[in-house]
Amino acid sequence: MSNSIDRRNFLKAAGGTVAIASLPVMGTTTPRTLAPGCKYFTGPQAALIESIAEQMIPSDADPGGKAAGVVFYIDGVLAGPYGKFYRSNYEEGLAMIDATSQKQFGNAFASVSSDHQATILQDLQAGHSRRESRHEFFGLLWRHVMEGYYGDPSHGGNRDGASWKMINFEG
Amino acid sequence: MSMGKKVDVVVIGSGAGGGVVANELAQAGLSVVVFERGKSYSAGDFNHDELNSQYSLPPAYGPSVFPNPRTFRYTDRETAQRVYAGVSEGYGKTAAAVGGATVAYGAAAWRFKKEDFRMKSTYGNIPGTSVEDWPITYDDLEPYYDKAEYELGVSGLAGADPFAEPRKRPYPVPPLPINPQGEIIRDVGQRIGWHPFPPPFAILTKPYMGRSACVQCVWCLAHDCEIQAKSGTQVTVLPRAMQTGRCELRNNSFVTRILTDAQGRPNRVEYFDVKNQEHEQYADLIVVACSATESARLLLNSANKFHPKGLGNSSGQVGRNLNDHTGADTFGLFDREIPHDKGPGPSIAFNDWNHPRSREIPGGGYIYNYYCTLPIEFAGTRPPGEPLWGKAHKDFQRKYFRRYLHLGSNCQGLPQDTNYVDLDPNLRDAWGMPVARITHSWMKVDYQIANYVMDKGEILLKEAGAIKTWRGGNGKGGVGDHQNGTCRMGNDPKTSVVTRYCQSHDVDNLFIADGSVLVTDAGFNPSLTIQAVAYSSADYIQKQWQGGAWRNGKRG
Repeated sequence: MSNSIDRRNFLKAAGGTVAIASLPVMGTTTPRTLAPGCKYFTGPQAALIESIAEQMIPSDADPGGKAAGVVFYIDGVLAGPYGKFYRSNYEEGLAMIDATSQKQFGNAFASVSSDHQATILQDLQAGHSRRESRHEFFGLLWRHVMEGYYGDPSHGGNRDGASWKMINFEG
Repeated sequence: MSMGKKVDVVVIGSGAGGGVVANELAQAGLSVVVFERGKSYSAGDFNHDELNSQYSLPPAYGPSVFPNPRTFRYTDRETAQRVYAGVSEGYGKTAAAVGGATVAYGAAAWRFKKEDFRMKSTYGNIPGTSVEDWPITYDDLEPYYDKAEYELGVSGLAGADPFAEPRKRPYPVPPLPINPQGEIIRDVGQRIGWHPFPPPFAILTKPYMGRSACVQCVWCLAHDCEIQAKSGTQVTVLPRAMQTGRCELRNNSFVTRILTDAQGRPNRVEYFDVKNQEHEQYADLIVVACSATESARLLLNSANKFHPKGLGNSSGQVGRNLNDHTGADTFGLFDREIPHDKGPGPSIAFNDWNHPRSREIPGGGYIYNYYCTLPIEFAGTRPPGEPLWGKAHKDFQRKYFRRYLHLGSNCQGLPQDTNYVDLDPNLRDAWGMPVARITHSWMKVDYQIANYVMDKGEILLKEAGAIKTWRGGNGKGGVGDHQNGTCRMGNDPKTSVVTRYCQSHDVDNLFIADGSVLVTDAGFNPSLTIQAVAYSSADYIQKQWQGGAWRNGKRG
């Protein structure tokens, strides 16, 4: 599909060109203070993911990405058996997003205005569309947010099946 | 290392082709060991979950992601990059499980058309391609299509497709019910002069051979069926083979090489079990059925001083002509509700654009209403220019999830010598064997064929009242679960790998039973044709065997 994030682009975001087996397993060597309810993300990382999920799927009459618990789905992926595919992408990607926010708007992503957050994500997506390697993280992030919001609640997101009620999907 | 008792035949791979050959030979009285690198799943392993499907990461039915990567590149001018199962389309998503890809396939059960076996005769030389005629015709294969349909359980309506080739018997069970999407495209298609019909599926619509009928859930494509209505080899021919008492299944067992005796004749396989213990299994006959990529890799990895280019590869054709289908999907949005909660989804098809009488394109493809749309899948389905996130994403999802129609198609891809599987010179798997390196890209004619069919799909959607239509794409290359062509059949040992009976031209006791042997891939899903060819091959093997061939080193 010309306007969607296809699986081949996703491959690059998922680290197809890095030596996956040798990635450091974060959290086992570095002391981390985990966010409540999380097995991988620190408090600031979880807040950042929640802000991104809320930008991508904002709350209105139906719950947004934050209320639907997208962060707990992604946290489960990173803490799970295939998490090592993604951990370095997230560590670097989240740090990059916060650094960009600091540079452009003087504060961490979770603390800048909604308009500024949207600008940062739009720039990231534009770079992704241009196949810029520093922006490959966007494809991974987008996919995980959608999986967390629309996937089966047993994986930690889509709290109370909210997204399924929203689109009248009975399964 | 341990060596098991010698058996008559080893079958490597338990999927569409391997399962068929194993059962036929066990029924004929041969002792059989089937090797399967994946595990065996039972009904308790399946759930209705979009994040636990063959399309999720990792793929729900294998292969496991880490031990056996591949490398991928579009052309041999590039350096191939490492790719992982389920993480990349470059790997392909063919399941690795007892039943192979048939565990989670969409189960479309097409017969090819007569032109599909005569592509070169029908369309002449097509520059840049390696299109050839098959050494067999539709008429040669008809009895084996019939056998496959009845042995496996295929639903369909004989005579409903005016473009289908003649058949001697009706389908064993009636077609799937026509769902609301099917009714829409049936009525519109009739109005504009096309020829709608219910397509054939290896999905039961009535109890058949001890299995129950489809209950029309939406979780079909890329999922296994917990009520066994889908006719995968793991619920059809493999259990029957076991019941003979002559067939043993060794799953979680990865075959790394086929080994030969002091005269260079294959006589055993080397494999690693689930505990990574190395073993050898002796057999008179060896049937390779690992799907197009892995079969080619196994033969190439089995090179020795007698077979320096790889086993069965004196032609240099093992791995060449790697092919797959292009997609020609189209999408439409409507201002009225289009229910899509009656699975599996496809219930009306058209073959008007598969070898159209005008011959304006070489081949083509069918069109049908696609499998039921699932929520995550829909989040990635947008017309060009439509935002992928934010308020607009949510509004679109809410407004159109039930006002949407997806037409699917598999279009003929044309084989090219420059699309191939070989051994990566730099990367080895967990067992120390070189991994498969895939080199694949589409050429202009492949896009022309897909565009032709997508033009028709958009016409159908617009006639149905779509307020907006758009089309899918094919990227630059890469193979998926319809991979085929790496060990093509043919009459000439210099230009093909196996005979019309799938017997190696080089080595008489080596056979291939999967999509590798397909000469061209037709605008149809390949599984029923792979199985018909496997029945034909098994028929030949058992007749030869009964005549004394291959026993105690005798030639066949």
